[in-house]
Amino acid sequence: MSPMQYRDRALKRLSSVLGAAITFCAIVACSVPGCTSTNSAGTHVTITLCAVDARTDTCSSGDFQALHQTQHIRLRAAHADGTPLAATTLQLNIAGANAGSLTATTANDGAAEYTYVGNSTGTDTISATHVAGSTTTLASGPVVIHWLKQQSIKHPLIFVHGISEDANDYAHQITPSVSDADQASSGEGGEQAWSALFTALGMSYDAAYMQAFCYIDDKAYTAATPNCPSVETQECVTPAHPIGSYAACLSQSSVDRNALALAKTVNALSAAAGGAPVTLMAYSMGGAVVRTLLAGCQRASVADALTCTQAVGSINHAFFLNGAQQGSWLLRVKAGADAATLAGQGIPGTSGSPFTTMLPMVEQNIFGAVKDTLGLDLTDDAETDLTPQSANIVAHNLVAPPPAVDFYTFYGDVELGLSLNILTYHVPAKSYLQLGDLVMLAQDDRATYAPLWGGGALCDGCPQPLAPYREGGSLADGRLQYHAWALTDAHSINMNTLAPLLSAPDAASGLQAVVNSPVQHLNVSQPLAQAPGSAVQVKDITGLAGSPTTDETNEIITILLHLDGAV
Amino acid sequence: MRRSSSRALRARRFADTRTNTAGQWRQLWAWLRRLAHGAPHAIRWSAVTLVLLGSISFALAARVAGATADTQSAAAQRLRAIVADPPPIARFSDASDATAYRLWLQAQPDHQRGEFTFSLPNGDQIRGLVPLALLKDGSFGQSQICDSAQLTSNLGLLYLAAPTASQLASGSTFTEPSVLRASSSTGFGGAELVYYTLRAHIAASGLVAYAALAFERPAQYNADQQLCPPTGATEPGAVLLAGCSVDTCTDPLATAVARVVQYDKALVAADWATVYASTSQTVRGQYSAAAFASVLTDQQQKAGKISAVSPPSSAPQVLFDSAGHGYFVTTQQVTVSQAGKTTTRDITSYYLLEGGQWMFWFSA
Repeated sequence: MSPMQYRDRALKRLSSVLGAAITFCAIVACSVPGCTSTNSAGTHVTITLCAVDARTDTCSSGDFQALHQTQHIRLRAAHADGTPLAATTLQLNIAGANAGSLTATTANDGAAEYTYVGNSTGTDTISATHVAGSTTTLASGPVVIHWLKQQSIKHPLIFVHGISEDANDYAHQITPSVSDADQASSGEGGEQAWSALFTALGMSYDAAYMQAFCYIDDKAYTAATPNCPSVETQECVTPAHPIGSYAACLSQSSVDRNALALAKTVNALSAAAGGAPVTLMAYSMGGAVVRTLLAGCQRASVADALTCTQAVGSINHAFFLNGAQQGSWLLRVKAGADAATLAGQGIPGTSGSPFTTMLPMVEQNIFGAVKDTLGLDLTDDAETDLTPQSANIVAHNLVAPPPAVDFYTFYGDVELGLSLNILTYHVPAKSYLQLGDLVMLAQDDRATYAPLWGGGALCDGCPQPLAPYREGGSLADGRLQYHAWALTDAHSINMNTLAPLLSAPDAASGLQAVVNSPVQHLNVSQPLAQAPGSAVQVKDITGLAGSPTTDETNEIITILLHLDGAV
Repeated sequence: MRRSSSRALRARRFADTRTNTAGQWRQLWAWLRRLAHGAPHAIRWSAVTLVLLGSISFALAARVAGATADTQSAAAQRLRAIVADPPPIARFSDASDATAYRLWLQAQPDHQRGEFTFSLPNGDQIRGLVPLALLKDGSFGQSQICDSAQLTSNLGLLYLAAPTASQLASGSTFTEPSVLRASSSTGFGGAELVYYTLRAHIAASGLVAYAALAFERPAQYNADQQLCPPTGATEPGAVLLAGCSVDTCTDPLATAVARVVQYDKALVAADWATVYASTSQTVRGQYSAAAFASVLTDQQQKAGKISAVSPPSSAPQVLFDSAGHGYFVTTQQVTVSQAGKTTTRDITSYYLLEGGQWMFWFSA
């Protein structure tokens, strides 16, 4: 071969190699994310949606809004890898009472905010898609907006909070203009507790007749402006009130004494409303206070019992929200009973139960998770009274609830199933242990029973114990007296995820998912569980919610409006 | 070599090859000779030698492996579990009698040594205090003198799982007697004062126990006839049998590893009835034997068949969970066969002491 031929052949070879290399690099480069067009068809987009509650400046799964007002919806769009999807068009799809669609363009951070006005009462369900037609995944949402007619119905209502809570948090929610000393504290749970409920109530009812009950040792008394109803008496010591039967204001005082104080508040509010009957809404320990009042304050003096009896005559409806009317099983264990043989209505018990071995460890873990917030490590009057079969509970259970009051009871129903591995074989969970809201068991529906392990159920004469919804009893006017909803959240846990509990009852374990349940006693009052659109759904018994099930808050407000003939 | 033509020799050879190892080796040698018969001298004998040595090695290896597995299982079963000191709170259950017994072996805040709760089949609980006596063999005993005067000072608390309205009323002003609490406390109402007798025998390890309890409400008390029957008569009240009788206790430390080996054997053999009977209440309380067998059969098809499990190689240590249940942990090599392939991996399993017997609990 001549040098020229040799050179030609070498050049051809070099050209081939370079061409292949360039082609290869092009293929590799264009497989890297970002190489393709942002809006090209086939891209996977993730969108998060939430509804802004202007009162609390929170963004959650939904909101109550007054007709003809502006509702804000926040969105954030991202690629599948999480990078913001900037400068892209998203479409908001509204189904329901105010059906329609909107579009908006995202900013550099992938965020966008929509506003729209609802002119029809009812419920809107809102979802979002990527206009360019790529596959959309909703990381959160759809959101739900309940549109209510702005009204000012005169309906006396008293909210009775739970143990260790601050009445000022609720007074501020009822009347935003009243001061709340710790309002600015970020993440302060009380500020958000039942916020959806108070938003809905505020749109429909006259705030002048709504009150937050102050315990006789309420935390509200530590504020410069307690905002407690004038008839209520402080009995805890503060610099401005140096004499009192309680050394500190902790909201952990006697249930019996608080029931008497509540009776005075009911009488005063009813009188202020021209003799109109009062509705009570009670959470946690508040349920025990209400139940004690409704029994006529059995352990009070004769004179005080008369005050309570008078108040009972002025009550028309009672809502128990994860109420503690039969006491907490955690306090029964603390008082010495053995949780290994937990037994009660619908709960497998005795030593043949599949849960016998795990129950004591589950109890210890839950106790550790909630004791600081609920003050369970102390032996104050509240803990004593909330121990199942305590003198307080025994006393009020001797008296059936008054026949003229109707009851609406919502209680947690966390269900725990245990699966396990036998070497490489998997045995799934078959039975489920009903643990209530982890602090209150569901237990017995009967109003005059006092189960050893306490509970928060109340549905006297109701068939089908522990069914998701049940009703029974009857009022003089023929309406049903009792209504009960179970807020069910089932978890199947592999035994091996509970192994850390064997050596340390407060160790991180598979039980964490159960403790984090939205219907757990401490979580159920927060927006995640209570906001419209929440995964916590209950049966609508009014037929007015627009769907067979709805969120707990919407069910409560719909029932109230229906009872008032305002729907 | 002159081949034997005797009928006796041929018969012996025929019998040998059929019945014993020596005969089989002779048969192999004869085959090797026939194999070598047509090849060049050096090659054929080299090849024969190699084949022969390879066969011998293979046979020896097989015998050693078999012997090793058998030896390992036998050795494992001779291992004795180790246990540390008894737990401060011991807990026992008896599924057959539907009873449970919790005992403070050591004083704890607000609880005295010898304090107990006894759970009855209907969910009621008795809470009391009977001093612990150390017996000659190191085990513990609890008993009371059957004497009218003594019995009326044995006051216990009866917690009713589901009291009637009249029972609630009678207990509404009750306060706990100071014998049970270091500090007096009021307000734990709803419990009734009862007279009771307790007889208990607890092993030194705190792992197994016997307990029998009878009680009477003061209004029904009839001297000591009900609570203290004559010697030899049936124990009154409720009983808990969790590995001990009144006089003797089993030794669960000696049976721990044997139970593991037995369980593994049943798994490999797909003997679901035995597996079920040896699995803890966590499974038996949820599944019937038939339903359990159905699940495991299905799992065997999906996950592959467990074909071998190595026995425990060391003495397991018995631990107590925070609630007082005894358990131990063992890690074993598990071989699974599926679609002609086998995989082996280490799996850690937990065994729980229930009613005095080790039961499989779960695998991690």
